[in-house]
Amino acid sequence: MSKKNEPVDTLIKDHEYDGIQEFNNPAPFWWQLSFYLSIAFAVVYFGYYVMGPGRTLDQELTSGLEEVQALQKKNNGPDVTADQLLALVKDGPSVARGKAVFESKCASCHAADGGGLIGPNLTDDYWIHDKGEILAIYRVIKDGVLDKGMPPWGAVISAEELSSVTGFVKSIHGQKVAKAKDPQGEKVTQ
Amino acid sequence: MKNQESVVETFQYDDDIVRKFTLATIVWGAVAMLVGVFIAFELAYFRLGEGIPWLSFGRLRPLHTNAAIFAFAGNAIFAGIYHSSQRLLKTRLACDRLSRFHFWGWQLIIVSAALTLPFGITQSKEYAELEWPIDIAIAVVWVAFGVNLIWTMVKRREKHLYVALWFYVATFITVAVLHVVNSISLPVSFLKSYPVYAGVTDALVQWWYGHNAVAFFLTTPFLGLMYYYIPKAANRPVYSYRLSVIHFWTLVFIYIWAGPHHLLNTALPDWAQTVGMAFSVMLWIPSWGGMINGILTLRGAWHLLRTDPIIQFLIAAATFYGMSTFEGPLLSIKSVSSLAHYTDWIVGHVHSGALGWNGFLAFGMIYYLVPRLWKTELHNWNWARVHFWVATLGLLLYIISMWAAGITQGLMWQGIDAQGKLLYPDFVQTVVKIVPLYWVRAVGGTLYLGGFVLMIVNVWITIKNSKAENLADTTDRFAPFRRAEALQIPKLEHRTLERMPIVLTVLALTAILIGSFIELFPFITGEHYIENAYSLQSITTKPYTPLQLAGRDIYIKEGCYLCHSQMIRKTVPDVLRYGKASTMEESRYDRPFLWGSKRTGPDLARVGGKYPNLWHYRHFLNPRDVVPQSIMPSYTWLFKNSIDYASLNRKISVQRVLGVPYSEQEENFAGENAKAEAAVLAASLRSESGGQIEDDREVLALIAYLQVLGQMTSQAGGAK
Ligand code: HEC
Ligand code: HEC
Repeated sequence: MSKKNEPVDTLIKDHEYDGIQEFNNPAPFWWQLSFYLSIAFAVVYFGYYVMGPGRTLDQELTSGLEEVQALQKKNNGPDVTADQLLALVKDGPSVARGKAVFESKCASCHAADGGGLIGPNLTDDYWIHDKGEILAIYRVIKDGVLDKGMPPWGAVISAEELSSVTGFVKSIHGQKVAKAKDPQGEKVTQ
Repeated sequence: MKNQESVVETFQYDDDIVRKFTLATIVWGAVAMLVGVFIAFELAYFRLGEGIPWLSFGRLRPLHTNAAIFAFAGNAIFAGIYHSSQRLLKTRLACDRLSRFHFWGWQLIIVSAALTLPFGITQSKEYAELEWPIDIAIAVVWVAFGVNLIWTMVKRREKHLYVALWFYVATFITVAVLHVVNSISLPVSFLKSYPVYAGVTDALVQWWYGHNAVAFFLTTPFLGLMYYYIPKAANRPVYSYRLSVIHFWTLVFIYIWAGPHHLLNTALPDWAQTVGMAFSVMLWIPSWGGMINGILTLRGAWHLLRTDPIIQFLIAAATFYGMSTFEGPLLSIKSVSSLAHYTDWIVGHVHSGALGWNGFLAFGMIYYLVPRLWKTELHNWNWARVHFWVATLGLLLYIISMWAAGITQGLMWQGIDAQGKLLYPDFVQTVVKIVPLYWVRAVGGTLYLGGFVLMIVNVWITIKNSKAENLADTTDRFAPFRRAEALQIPKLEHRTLERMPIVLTVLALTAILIGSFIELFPFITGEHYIENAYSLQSITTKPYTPLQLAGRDIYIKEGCYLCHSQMIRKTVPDVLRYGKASTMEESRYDRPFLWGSKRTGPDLARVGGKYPNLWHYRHFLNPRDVVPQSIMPSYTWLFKNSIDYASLNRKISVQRVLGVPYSEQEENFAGENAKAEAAVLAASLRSESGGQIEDDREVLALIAYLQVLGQMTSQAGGAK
């Protein structure tokens, strides 16, 4: 730090306004230095991103999404089989996990007991998709039916949660519910 | 020498106008803070004000911000400017009538804001919500203020203009430009209008305005006040004249460019974002120049910090100014913004500015002014000290809780697990987490208000103790300078400029026009710039149907945009959560744009088609029915009010004038078409729900609008 920037506290002649006088101390050295540095940063940054090779937001987003998609692919594994899912219907702990997912994610549309509200009743004998086959249920939950208002959950809940909520849905078939929604889809008799 | 003494003149200051503005500051300050505390509790506890439209968060939030900025800070500025300018210029204000016109005009504007905003009469552009007739009144009264100010400068006895006055001049001229450019709109009726700018242009103009309203309404005038009241109260010389020259001009020149930092990572073209960020970073040091000059003026009188509440308030104000002008550039860095934008961190940031810098400076000034204006001692200085500590405590609770809330929620929104999925896919999970902090904030705000109430009582008793004869105008004596001499231009130095108020005004104007012009020009005048971008990508955008447009206006009226953004940023977490990043084309016909600035609820840019109509219907009736932990208010009145079909033809007609491709047919039958559309929607809802739903309820229009969000362009996909 140079001597030059030490405050010297000399009043400036003729600078008096309503009794307010002025010193003419130099701006602190660190202040000046930071100012030059911030200007240099701004110029370089602008040059790099607007005129130079800096990546655009779109490019950065694309590569970011590619990384995430790679993660998703790696971890999603092969799709489950009907047998694996059917096993889960009777697997107590898995059904309990599925129930928890259902209550937090699905109850708003299907009611907490599955009796139907905005979405169809899932406990009755009527199914809209493929006669309520377990794989069909799995796929509806995973990919959704956007046009009809059933959101896709594949990207939202984990693969494991997906399987257990499928098992849970199948497990509540035939249960008595507080307020059943009118049947939708075709009747399936097993 | 002898010659000069003989011309010393005696004159009187207009103290009455300063007293008026001071009282108005106190009254409106109470209103602004009371509304602020109320809506803070609403966020902590959604039941508050339930079912009463004009008490709902979306309606009251604009009232709070407008009252805080234009009524509280505004009146404080006018009080301080009128008080200090007369003394710095050694003359009475130019025109008593103009001063009174200014005062009463401004109060009338505030009253009309209070009578329109809670009823949903709003243009929805933040801090520029007031409808067009009020906008015109603001322009007129503002010009009256400016004329009065500059005229007083021209009439002055003091030869040179002190630094405070440079800041006042820059304030006047810049706010005039900002207000006029941002408010241009085409009326539909006496209380409804559409802005001439649409979509990305409207966003850019609005944030050029919004950011610089902070700069030139909440910063430059207060810096001017600081330059007067700190040296006066401390009785110390200003630290550095040189520094004031540098930081004044750099601040004025650089500030105006920084607006786009409110739009980082959005659909705004990259170059404009980069300009905004670069200038925001450069703004840090000029801002600190002001802080240094304020605080270091106290050198040699530091002991006052322990004893004098006026100094405590003023120096704390400069410190908070320093803090928020460091935080601002930090938040303008794109990567920091991607975390902090739309969160409560920003809310904390503006309050460290508004409560810490503007509020504290105003309090210091009021404690300085009241004994002098009413010519009696302050009733109780200890109360003022208590006020300081209570306000500081409240403010710290406020800022810290909002940091915690903002950073917590921002990190939760960004969290992605090893499987490439969002850690917290349910938005409401991230809300529940921060509700306790909303309570802390509300308590902090209440403390701050409590301190303010103590000041009101203190001032009230002081005034009551003052005698009527104390209200006579203060007399002063000063020798005028020789005008001819002042106009000579002996040297090309700043001192010369300080003798020329008009030239100074023109130079300040030039300084702010450069950045404004370069940034806005391609968007406003070169419509081709945007039109080209649209046609190059051969993307077509559908205009809203009349019913959707009616719904959009309800969305504006209810202030949904204050809790919901409609702008999916170009960041991975945004895209994972909400779908494809928003594009410029999607808001091509949006007047006003509704990109929003806060996500108390989730982004809605692609909510269209995400849920069935019935979901929305139940959600508006009571959000808890579908999302048990929701804090969104219920909107029961949307189920009682009828859609305003009558104005639709006129609305479409105005949109046509503004270039939206509606046919004449669509204009003439807008009302009928909307009715038909609503009837179909109502019928489907009836069959789905089995309940009774009338054909003309506002909720139908709002649902129709939500269901088209994200579906307006030919290339836009669904939710994912
Ligand atoms: C936004 C409301 C909504 C939510 C939330 C929702 N659903 Fe649905 N769901 C629907 C609708 C609407 C349908 C009917 C789709 C159709 O008609 O094809 C449906 C259909 C289904 C079906 C097919 C029923 C049939 O008859 O074929 C299953 C299974 C299902 N949902 C399970 C779930 C599960 C599990 C969850 C939670 C992970 C969930 N839903 C969440 C609205 C929803
Ligand atoms: C006080 C803040 C607030 C206001 C005002 C507000 N909302 Fe919300 N909104 C929320 C919150 C929090 C959620 C998330 C919880 C939920 O779904 O209810 C939400 C959720 C939503 C959702 C569901 C979005 C999704 O993707 O799940 C929609 C749609 C919605 N709001 C529309 C509106 C509309 C329209 C208005 C104006 C009439 C409005 N909101 C006003 C806070 C608010």
